[in-house]
Amino acid sequence: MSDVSRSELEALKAKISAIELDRKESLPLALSLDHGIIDRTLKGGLQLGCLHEISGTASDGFAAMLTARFTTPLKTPVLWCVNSRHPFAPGLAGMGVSTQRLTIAHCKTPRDMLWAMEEGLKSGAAKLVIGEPSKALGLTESRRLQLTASTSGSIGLILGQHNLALNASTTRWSVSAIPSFFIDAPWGCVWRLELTRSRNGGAGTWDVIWKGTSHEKTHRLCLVSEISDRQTRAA
Amino acid sequence: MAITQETRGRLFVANTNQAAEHAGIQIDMTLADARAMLPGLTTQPDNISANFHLLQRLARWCHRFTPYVGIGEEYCLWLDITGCAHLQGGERPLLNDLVKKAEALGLQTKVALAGTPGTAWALSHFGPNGSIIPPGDEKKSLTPLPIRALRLPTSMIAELHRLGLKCIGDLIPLPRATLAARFREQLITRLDQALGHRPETISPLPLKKPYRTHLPFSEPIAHRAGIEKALEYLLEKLCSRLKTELRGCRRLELSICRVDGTSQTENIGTAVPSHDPRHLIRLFQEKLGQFDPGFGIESMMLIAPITEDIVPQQKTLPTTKANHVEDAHTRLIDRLSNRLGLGNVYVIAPFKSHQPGRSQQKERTFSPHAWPSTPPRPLRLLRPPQPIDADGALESTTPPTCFHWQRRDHRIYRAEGPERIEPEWWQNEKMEVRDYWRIEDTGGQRFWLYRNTNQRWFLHGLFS
Repeated sequence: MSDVSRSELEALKAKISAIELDRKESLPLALSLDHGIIDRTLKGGLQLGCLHEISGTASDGFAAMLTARFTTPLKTPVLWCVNSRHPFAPGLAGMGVSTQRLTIAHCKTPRDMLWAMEEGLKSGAAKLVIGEPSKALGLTESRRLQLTASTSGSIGLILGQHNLALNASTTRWSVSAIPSFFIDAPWGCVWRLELTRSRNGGAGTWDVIWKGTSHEKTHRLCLVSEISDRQTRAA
Repeated sequence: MAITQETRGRLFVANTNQAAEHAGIQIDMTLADARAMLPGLTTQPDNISANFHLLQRLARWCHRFTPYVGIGEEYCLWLDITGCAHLQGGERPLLNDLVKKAEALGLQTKVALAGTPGTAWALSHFGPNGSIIPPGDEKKSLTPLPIRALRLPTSMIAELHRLGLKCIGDLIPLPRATLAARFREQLITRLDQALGHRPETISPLPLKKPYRTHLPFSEPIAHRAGIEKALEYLLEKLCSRLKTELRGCRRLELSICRVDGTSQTENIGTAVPSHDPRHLIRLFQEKLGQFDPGFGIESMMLIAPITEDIVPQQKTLPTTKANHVEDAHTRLIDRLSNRLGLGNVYVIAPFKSHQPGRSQQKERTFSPHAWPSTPPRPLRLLRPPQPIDADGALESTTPPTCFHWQRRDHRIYRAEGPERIEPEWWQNEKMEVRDYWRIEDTGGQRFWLYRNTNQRWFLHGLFS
């Protein structure tokens, strides 16, 4: 009798490990931000199948940059759940987003917003799901979204000016606009990226510039210091 | 208004409306003559295929009166109302109803009801409009009508006229053998058909079966599992029919009828036509909770009011990733739009306008599009633009040096502009000429400001 149950147990164990292995294999690890130092801090890049949180004055710009990365070179659909503030598409297009792959879902209530985000993450069709909840996510909501994201391998992105709440997101960023005094950037985006929290450890602050236009094929982040170095050297 | 037809290089009037008829325009007149009589005549060339198409649609519309509707020669519709009249309360109410409903569609009708198609045709074209001839009275009613009412070729009519035979009454007493010998069998056939001595067939249009399935229960059901099971059955039935006819539904209506005679209906819609029961049942999942079974549900009905053709696609391999992603994406959009509302899930496409507020439009489809190249535009637009206090703009071509917004002073470090955007003259609303500036303040934040003609400053958008 015990033999039977033992063999059953072994079979179950094998099954479970197979499932776990399967999941591990099917998940690509991370989306590289195309900058060596930042990627190294993040251990490869922005982790796929996770929830990330962005706040700060330039959070829209950072979200637009990620949307551009997904829609233009990778050609995958992106879902953007908005409440009242709609993104302005000509501006997004100017940053390199191909808007025909960007689906906007207008959610009237916070409940709808969470539902739409979960559906988006669950389906796996949209590899990036952006949400703008009107109030900070609690532990339960964020944990649920995080779990859903981990099953499909999509990135969930939470935009909002309210952080500090305890939640299950993998990384937390603060992206703020900084003056472009010292760079001769013709209307590029100059940001201070602050990685304030990361599950994989690592934190950092980088001043970066991103010139994302539809004519330019490469959407690369550059550290401001690199550019200013180059400029001083040239001078 | 006249319809023209070209015969041997000349334009003739083929048909007119009532106004033109009153002005004296006649059918078969040359267009030049008609123009001479009525210089303001608008004309339209005859479009036979469009006429036929319209007639077919009209015939389908007539299916509300009888399932037996046929299209006859010279643009007429046959309605065989045998056994249908009592549904409308008799023959006269049916005829009145038809005329009234056709008038509501903007159509003028010439109708007649008789025991034989021939008599009905003759009366509708040459008799009093809306006449009803009881069976047996055909002979009496046909007697005063002209010979043209027998649907004969024009050459035969001309010949009969030459012999002094003007109306059908002149023909009836003549010996049939002589008539047949002189004018071929056709004359006799038409006459007999009109009088009811010979049968005439109408070939009806095939009746379009609506996409509808119905499921009555022997015992009323009251729980969700039961509704779900019934829905599964209904969907399976409807989808198998849609599949064989290569169609997919864009909208589905599920109605429940309760024991107490009340009913409730819930709708779902899809972005692309679908006949996949598994996908459709997922869309209904959200709605099932809204059904209130009350004292129990007696029957359920599923209708697909809007269906479209599905072109069967050659899918390279069922496991191909691209197909899979595409399907998953349309499914996601269907699910989202069924809960959030059809207009709330969309793709933004460019609209040809320089006005920033009007330069984008919502679209349901995912057609490729290209944005016009413009100077940089903000990521968010404030609606409406917010008036701000700006200082330091000395001339109309210089930007301000600082402005006040959201209880903060913003000192301007960098400014690009002005970019003048002029109003569109074809827009009724009062828009002013605006000079837009892209502004960066000392904190690095970027704004999109404009100055209107009254030298007032507004904040219209935020970059980054």
